[in-house]
Amino acid sequence: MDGNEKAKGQSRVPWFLLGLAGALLILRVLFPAPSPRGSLEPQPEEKVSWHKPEEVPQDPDKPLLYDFTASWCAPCRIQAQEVFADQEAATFINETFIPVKVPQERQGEKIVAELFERFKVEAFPTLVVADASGQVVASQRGYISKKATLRFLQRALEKHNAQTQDKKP
Amino acid sequence: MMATILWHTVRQRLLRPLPLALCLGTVVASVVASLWTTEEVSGPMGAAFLPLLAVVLAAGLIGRDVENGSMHLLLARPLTRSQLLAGRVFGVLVVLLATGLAGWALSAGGAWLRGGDVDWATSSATMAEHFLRASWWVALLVAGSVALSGYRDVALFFGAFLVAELLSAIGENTGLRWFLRAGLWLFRELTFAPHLESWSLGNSAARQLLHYASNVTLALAFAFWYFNRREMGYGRE
Repeated sequence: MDGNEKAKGQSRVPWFLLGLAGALLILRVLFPAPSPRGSLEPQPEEKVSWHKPEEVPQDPDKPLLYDFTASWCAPCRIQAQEVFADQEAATFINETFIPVKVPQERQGEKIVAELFERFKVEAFPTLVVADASGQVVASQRGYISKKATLRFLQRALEKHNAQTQDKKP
Repeated sequence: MMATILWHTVRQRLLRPLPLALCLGTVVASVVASLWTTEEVSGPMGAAFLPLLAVVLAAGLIGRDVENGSMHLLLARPLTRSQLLAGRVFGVLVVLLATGLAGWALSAGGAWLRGGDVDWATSSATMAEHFLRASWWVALLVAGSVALSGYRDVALFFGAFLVAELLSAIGENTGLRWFLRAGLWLFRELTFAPHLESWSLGNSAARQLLHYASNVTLALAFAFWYFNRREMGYGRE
């Protein structure tokens, strides 16, 4: 009987794997992971000073940032937790944009329904940057990380500023 | 010999109508989603189907062989039970990784060719996150499959979700916080995957990776231990 024959269906106790599992379990208890994102526990308060759709000024001096969201939308919760509850991101948004939260639950109201229609919102979360006349400067569908959101907003701002410069006589 | 089992697993698990359709669908969904996203390509959205694909691929991974008797033929080959199980597990992981990578490369590459601004780090990290969740589900299903015959591992897997939901619902409606906590804990563990935002692996990501590694090795350690000690009428000393 050669070595291969000996191996046939042979059962061995996987000591290495059992030991590794035990060691990792001990390490995991010693260094616990933080609560996972998007959890159902109370979330940190958002630091962005959101306006309601009806509070948007007629002639805004800054570009508008619309956040189309829904209470049932898990990626929206994650984005709120990671981006809008973050001090750095919130300061940038508050100083640079007029942030407007547009919840799907209010879609029955005329002013909210018009926003959904105008920006052709079909998914959540959707971020839309619009100029004073309500024209779309940039939009982003779906969840993106804090870093990607800030990059998106920065580029939208640059585009908005360039468009404003072009319009000036 | 283990490589033979690995490729046999790839062919056996993939070349069936449902897994093949889901596999191709995952890749196509990634491409379509990247066309649909306007400004950024932050993550291949199709990769979100990887965990579902994992369930389809890993369902009855060992249990089916035990049920239909082909396990006896496999155990007659010159390899240990651990090698057989490892070949099966890696076979499924190879299919999952190939699908995830193909979806990511096509969606991000396509967007890049169209002149889009591709966030390579974030998109690859998102794909990796979905792959890690999928591999955790593979480990769970394998742990169930070595102990149960046929597709009962899938019933156990979805049953665990049901138990989590029931516990949460009971806790929510009766005010019993322990039920709620137990339900939420179970749900989080079942769906756990480390958050690898743009590969900036800080302290939090490292702890989450440790948690993930612990979960997976616990499930696999049980699977390998039980598969080696299980009486199947052949090949056990």
